[in-house]
Amino acid sequence: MTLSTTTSSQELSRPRRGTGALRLVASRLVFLVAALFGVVTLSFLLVSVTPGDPAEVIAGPVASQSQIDAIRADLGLDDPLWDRYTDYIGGLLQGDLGTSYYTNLSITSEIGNRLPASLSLIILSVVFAAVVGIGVGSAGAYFRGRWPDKLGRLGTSVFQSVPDFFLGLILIYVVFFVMGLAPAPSGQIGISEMRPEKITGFITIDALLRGEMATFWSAVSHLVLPVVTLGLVYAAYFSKTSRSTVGKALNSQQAQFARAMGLPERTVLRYAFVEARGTIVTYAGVIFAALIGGEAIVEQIFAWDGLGSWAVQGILRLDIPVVQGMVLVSGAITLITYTALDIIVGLLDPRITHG
Amino acid sequence: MTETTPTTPETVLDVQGLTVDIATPDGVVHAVRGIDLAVGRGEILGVVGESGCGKSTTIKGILGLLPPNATVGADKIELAGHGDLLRTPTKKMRHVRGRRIGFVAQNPFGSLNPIYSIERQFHELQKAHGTKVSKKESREIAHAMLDGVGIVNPDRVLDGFAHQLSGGMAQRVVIALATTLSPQLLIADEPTTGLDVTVQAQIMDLISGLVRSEQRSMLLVTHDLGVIAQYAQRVVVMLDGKVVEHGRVEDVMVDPQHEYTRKLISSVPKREELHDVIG
Repeated sequence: MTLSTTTSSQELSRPRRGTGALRLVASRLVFLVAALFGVVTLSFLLVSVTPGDPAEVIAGPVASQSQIDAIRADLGLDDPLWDRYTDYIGGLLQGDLGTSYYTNLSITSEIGNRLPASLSLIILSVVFAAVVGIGVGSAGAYFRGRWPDKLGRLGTSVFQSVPDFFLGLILIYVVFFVMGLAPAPSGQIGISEMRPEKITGFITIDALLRGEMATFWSAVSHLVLPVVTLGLVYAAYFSKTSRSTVGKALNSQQAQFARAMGLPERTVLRYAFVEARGTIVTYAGVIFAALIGGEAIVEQIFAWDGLGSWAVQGILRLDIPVVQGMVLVSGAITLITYTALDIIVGLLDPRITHG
Repeated sequence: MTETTPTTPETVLDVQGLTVDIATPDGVVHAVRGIDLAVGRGEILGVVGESGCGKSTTIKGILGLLPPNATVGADKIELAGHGDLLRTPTKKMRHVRGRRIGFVAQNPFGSLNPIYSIERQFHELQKAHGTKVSKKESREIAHAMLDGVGIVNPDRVLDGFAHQLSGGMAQRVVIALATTLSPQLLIADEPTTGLDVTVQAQIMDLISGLVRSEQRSMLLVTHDLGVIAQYAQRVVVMLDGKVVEHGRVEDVMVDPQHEYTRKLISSVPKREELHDVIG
């Protein structure tokens, strides 16, 4: 009998579980540092080489030339580009991003106050969107062509075609105005309520830490409508992606082999989901990054004092340091998100880690 | 027509009058139109035919793996020691697959899970069939199975992933998985398609050896008449969802009765012709 046909050991590359993952993380982090440096430079050039004179903008239309010159000297705009660049980097390293032309508030403290507001809104929205969207999409993939799929696809196309601000206005009208179930769209808490003393900057967390339960529940109830607004719109995107990726994995030869081995349907579904999760996680990261600043209109509607509404004001008023700070923050968050994505997706897929 | 009764005394799989109708938006497609198959103990039955003739649909029909838009009918699909598969409820059918019938498909990289380690895939299989085994026992079983299919360094393969294997080794892993729960019947759907020619022979030797040594049976689906001639004892020739000829391999190969079988055989290049080409 010719049963024991041998195979040479060179056919199999040695699995490198630990080192492969480490190398992946290290290479992505090096890239992150380089890219962050690029973002910093870009946000600097935004002010320095774009047309228009910030000094004239600050001084206003009726200022005399000497006033403009004084402002320019004060801002250091007469110095050579290189000196201003090193000044900017130096300030940045000390956490100094300059002050707003209009409010004279420090950009760093503005970001510190507004970033938690935006992040709590965006993170919860992405989580809500992912849970609802992946659930609907996976059910649609599993029951393809049957009623759960048809219902899911109908919902998906409706919420995908409605602009988020419009959905927000409808929700405010129905849930707040007509039904009275949600609080008025007055930002993170009610107008007459006091914010808890700052610890992390996240109102919900700070209220909990300080034991102010009434403020905590108020903050939670104020989060519901904006989170549902953004969540439903982006759930539609998650649903579309997961329906196609999970569906593809469920129809794959791998799923057929799993069934032919007698694995139960829930295991087959898990196999399909594990195969699809890299794509879905990537999607979540891309949506998260796009929402930093991208949810500005929804912030405006709900009077949310976050980054998006702040950036829109800054752009409309040509408040260059604000725009600069926003470019820096959203650029940095986007880069960090994408780096984290690269690492997570790599760790989830042995084909990347053990390439 | 040649003899229809099985040559071995005990029939392991007896399929009679199998039909598969598939509902499509353009109407019903009669993919399989009443075929009879019988596989005896220790026997390899070859099923041969061009792609689209209903070979794979027949297998999926037997295994109960067709999509909901397909309707399977048959006088009987009798599996020895179990009963009629057509009348087996879905939940019990799951345990027939894997435990009583092992399945080997073409393209092992498509069959194996790309994300889980090979060890985990053995563990999932045993867990799925209610075998109460610890991770350690599961690994020992997997180790022995890989050893049995001629893998030199089972530990390394168990810790690794499908994409780190060569095609031949991946198919050996698939065969080990398919035989872990000692099924009495193996169904192999084009098991060597897509593998290197040298590896093809090794894999076929391995499968036929496993069948013979354990007195198992095998339904071997292929379009390769050479494989049938070398490994199968009996052959069924399919065309357009019907069996057009069946019999002992030596009879069918030497004296084909049906026009289609004759064409199939004449399409295989003969040794002398090859010599002419090579010169």
